[in-house]
Amino acid sequence: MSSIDPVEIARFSSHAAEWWDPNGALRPLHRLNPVRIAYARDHVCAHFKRPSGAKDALKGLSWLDVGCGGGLLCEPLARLGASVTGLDASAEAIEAARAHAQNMDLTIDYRCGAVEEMEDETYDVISALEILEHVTDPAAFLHSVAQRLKPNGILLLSTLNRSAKGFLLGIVAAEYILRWVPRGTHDWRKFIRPSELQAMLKEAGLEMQDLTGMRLDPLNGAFCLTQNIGVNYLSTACRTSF
Amino acid sequence: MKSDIIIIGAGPAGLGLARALADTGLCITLIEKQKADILADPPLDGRDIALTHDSLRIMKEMGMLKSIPKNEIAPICQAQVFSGDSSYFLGFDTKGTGKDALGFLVPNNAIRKAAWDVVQPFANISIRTEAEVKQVSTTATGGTVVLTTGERLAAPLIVAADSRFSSTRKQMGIPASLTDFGRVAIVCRMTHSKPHDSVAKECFFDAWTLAILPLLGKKSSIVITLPADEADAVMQMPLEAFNGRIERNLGAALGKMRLTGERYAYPLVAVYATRFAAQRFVLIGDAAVGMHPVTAHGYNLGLGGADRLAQEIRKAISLGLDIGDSTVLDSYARAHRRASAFLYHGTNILVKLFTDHRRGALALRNLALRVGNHLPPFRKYVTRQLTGKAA
Repeated sequence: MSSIDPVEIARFSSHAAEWWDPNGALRPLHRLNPVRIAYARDHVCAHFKRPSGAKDALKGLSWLDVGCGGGLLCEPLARLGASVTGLDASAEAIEAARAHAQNMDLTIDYRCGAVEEMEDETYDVISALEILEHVTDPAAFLHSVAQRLKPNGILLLSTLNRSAKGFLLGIVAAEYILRWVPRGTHDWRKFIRPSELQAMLKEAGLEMQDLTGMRLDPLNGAFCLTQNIGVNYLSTACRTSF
Repeated sequence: MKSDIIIIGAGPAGLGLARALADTGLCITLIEKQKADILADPPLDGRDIALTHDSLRIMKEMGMLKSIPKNEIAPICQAQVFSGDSSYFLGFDTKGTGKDALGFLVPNNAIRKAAWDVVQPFANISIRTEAEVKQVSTTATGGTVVLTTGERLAAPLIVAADSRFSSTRKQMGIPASLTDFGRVAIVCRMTHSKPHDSVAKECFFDAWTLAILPLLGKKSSIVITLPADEADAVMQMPLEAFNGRIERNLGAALGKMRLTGERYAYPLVAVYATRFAAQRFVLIGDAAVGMHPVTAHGYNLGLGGADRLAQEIRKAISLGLDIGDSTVLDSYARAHRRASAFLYHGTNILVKLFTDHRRGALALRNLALRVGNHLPPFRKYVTRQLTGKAA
């Protein structure tokens, strides 16, 4: 059973040509990218006790990015030295990702499919950013993801909070007022409260390690990290130690 | 040939950017029209650059300061702005800044030589001299520069540092607003019998403005700006007459004046690009902002901009981002616009006010000096621009 929602996949497939257009439909993701990469890099380096400032800070780490889309996250990770596998259910997105990586001279293992269908392989790091709010059953999804994580691995997640503020900023402001993302990109009912995420992780044998908010800095139009987890938030998790 | 960055123009901004990124290991190619021997030992051009404390810090980090002889660096301890023959002035000094000087004067050719010297040791920086760009174009995945010889160079990021009249800016479809002041700046050096006490003076007469910039000893850099149609006469003016004219304009404040060396004339045109970044293409130096020289911010802004872009590129490398990515270039563009917009437009308004012959303008500028003197936030702003935020 896969937690992939065909309606969601069709929506993102229709943007395939625009994945790498910084002013296209996925502009907010481009804006979000620097801050989420910094978060991922810093937490992964801290977890594996290595310096995060180096040009090849992620060298030698096997990394699975679930819901990789056009490869916005995979490419920077590959440049920082990780051996990256990018997984997405949209064949169009995977095709766009492969073509772009080739143009950029990057080697990334892109696969079309669902994490539930993967077997055997395990990874040092798994990321699923801006994905949880698009799957049909986040608990089942996290359970499958946990199976792919090495014993000492680390999981990175980000999603939107099902709070009043999450509704106002994530839906009303982003889709209707500012029109940063096309209407219907998000369904507020699928947003996840941090407490719910923590419970689902626990069910999957994982322990939440960190919870950090993201917000838009209106002065320079870039996203930055914040203590406030009312709207967008990032989280890390590791296997529960016995 | 493929590089990581192509920089068009090996002037102070282009060389400064290359030096600031030298230790990243990026493969950087500079393209420059001039000959290597001229860049390695630029001739005197009469211009002395007023450096802010921030510029000095950046130059020190780049190793440029080491290659500028100490006896070429002169401190400015006070600045005074006069209107006409009136002895009333708007004054700026270092009080409350914790610094000994507002800024420092260094000959332009010494700065250019230092900028050239500091990039030489780096194998990852190559400079194509006597090379001219025929065409620049970029796509979503990379940029291409075609030289007049037909040679093609490629890089994910192309930087234009090819002067305020940048032809590559035009080719990339970036409009720029250009203000031709219809005036010329004549620069030269003069010795004088009385000491200048390290005071810089800016005197606004009806058609002329006269700036006295204190060099070491009893020597000053003189900048005359005047209507373009009067420039030839001043350039050709016999030595004695010229000396006498400057002496009289200064009310003999510096005693006997004597021209040493040549007079050099530069037409005054200010330029502000409407955008600083396009797809895989970014503007720095005068190609982004070409200032009127009166507030002495052109070089400082250019160097600060090169430093700012270098920081954004370093950050991109540390995040594994494509250095030509629009998020990288846009953050530089936003920051550089914040740093330059007020200074640029403020300077142009100031120039208009102080070169307007009408009676109303004269009254207004006399008032401006008095108001400025009694407006601590304004004086603090100007002083901070010079001495830096650490004050």
